[in-house]
Amino acid sequence: MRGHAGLTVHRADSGLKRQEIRVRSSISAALCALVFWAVPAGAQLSITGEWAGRYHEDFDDRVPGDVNGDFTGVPINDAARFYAETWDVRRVNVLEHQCQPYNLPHIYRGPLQFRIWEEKRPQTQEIIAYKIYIGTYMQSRTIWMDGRPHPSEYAPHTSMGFSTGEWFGDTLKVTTTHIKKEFYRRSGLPSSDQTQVEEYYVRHGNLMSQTMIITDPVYLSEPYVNSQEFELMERGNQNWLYNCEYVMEVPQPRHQVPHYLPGENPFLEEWANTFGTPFDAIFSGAPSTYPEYAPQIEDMVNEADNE
Amino acid sequence: MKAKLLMAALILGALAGGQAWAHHSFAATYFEDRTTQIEGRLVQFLFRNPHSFVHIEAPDDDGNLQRWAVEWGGAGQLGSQGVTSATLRPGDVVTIVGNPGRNPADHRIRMLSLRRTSDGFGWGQAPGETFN
Amino acid sequence: MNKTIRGLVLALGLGFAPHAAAQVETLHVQGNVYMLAGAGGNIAVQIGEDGVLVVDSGNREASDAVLAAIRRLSDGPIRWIINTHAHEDHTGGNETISQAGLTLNGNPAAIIAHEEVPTRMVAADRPITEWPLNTFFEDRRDFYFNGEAIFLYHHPRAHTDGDIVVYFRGSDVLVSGDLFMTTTYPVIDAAYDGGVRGFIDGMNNMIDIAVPAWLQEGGTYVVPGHGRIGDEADIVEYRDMVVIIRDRVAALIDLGMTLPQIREARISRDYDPRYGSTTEPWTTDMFITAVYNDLTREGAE
Repeated sequence: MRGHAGLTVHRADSGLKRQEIRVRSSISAALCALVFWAVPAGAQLSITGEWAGRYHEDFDDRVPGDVNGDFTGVPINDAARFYAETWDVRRVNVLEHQCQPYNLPHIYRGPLQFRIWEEKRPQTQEIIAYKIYIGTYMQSRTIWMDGRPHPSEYAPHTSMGFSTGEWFGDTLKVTTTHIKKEFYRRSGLPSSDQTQVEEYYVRHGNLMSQTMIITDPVYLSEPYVNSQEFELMERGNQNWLYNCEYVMEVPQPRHQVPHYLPGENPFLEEWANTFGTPFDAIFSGAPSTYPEYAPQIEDMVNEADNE
Repeated sequence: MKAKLLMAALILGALAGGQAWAHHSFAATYFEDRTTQIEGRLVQFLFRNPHSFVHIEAPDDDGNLQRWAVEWGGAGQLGSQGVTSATLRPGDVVTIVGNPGRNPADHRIRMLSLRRTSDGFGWGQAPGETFN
Repeated sequence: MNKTIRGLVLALGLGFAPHAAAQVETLHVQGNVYMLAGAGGNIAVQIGEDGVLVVDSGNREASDAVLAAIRRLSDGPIRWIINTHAHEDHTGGNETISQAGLTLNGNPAAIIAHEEVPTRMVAADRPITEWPLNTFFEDRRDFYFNGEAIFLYHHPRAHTDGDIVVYFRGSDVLVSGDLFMTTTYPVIDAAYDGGVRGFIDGMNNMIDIAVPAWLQEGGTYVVPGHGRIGDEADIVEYRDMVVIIRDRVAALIDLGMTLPQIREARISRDYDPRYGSTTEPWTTDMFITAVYNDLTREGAE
């Protein structure tokens, strides 16, 4: 189902008649309303523990990052396209960019292992916050559960942003604002500092699903919806430390800003050419994230073959 | 079942031994289908995250002495392979084979193997001596 | 100051509502330094045992609200005002704040600025009670107040020709004036001899001063001329944007394109949704024009 500002639900094809589907949909809606009614914190599932990512989708981009020119899967707009066209990966070698970590919507999609624990009010044992430590880049995050408001628009932004959470039945909904600018993909698809993220966490035994709905009025044409799976680690992580040090890696003058002038990026279509996929499809943004787009790719390939 | 074990191995392999994940795409920075070789004197060894760097003074194709920046693994990943901040020292004469950078003016290489002339110390030839 | 820049100054300062009552918001930045937002340009306030130091004074119309906000932070004497540049959204409250202050010798609070600032104020017929009379002409100045060293760096031909950046060393806070903003493209006031190259130099200097605490976050904080509190990473992103657009304009100039052609090329469209505008007082076209003019002015490299 298309992503929208709410929980995305996948429904298996049951072969039911249309009338039965309508009735069942109404009952489902009512049940969802009951389930998502906020319940006291004490009834929640525990999400504490040490979790590792499982990478069954987009492994190459999410872990080793060998994806020069991969712009797929993100509903980018024209501004994001132009940014990516002129992006030079050597900018990450600039002194002030070297230790820039992945921001919130990026790191949960990327390589990570994290630990979650609870901060409780001593007198009542009510959960005030979930604290999260992410081994990648040694990042820390807090999800406030005490109803506090988000900070002023004048407050600084951070890579993890400011998060508040609320339980709806067994689903934890987290809302994050005040996120720093970074990327959605290492190919240079930018995420702006106006990005806001909604996350939904559901635990099933030793697995936890996270669905992210990312809105970015600057670089996305519609909400970017993705999902990740995490697995509870039985033996714990061995790689919790990552001290990043910025140094002059490649001798160059200070204050360089590597970038390509428009039309001069020689690597823009490299990934498309490597996999024989039409570049227009890879760069199309939202349309190509829906299955209905597949016939169009076929047409593009056929057209290219006939030329 | 086999597929699950393979995936688990891939995940563990990617995440073991410190930071195995690239901060940036190597394919975007280096020509991974080419290799180049330089021999020269080590002037600096930056053993750190996100990537260690070895700086070598060696001649380019025109014979002009250049400072080459050779990108290596993160400190954590190399540490698990027995490399420490004292493994290489300024003045060491080394031969390095690697992937050349896409911008020739950077004089930049991604390490594939290293061999020190004085004692034959090497990296990159034995199984497991890789980084990503 | 030409009418357009004056309009921008007023619009940025008063939120496009000239007669709205000022809502001044106070935020603690770090150490001794606080930011007051909502009174025109952002204001920095340093408090301590020696008294109060204020960087910029906001709009004239908001000065009572600014004074009240200062008093909520400290009842110590306002000894110093520093002006980052001459524009009224940053200096309109000079008289009110100064008159409410007291130097050690019994005069109103001293107003410090680069010597170009009162020159511009005189030309604009500003009342003498708003003029900085404690000026300097060299490229930097420093003094000590409230337990920390304070540095003033002059950056010529940037937002204007009289810009200074203030650095509170102990609190580790930069106050950038309009050399860094999170709200619009850089405002380059050519009538006040502003220019994009000086702008970039000023931002590079701030980047050299700022040191992040961890993972490019925190450490040195910066109070921008307008917008939210930032850190080095925020200045770097803004600087990168200005350099990239400058480079693109320069490349098109080298190809022989005219200004109308360069504007038509929409070479900033990757940043326009974030910083651009099609409506005055400061549009994307005006920014591109300012960059073009600075790159093509006589004597430019």
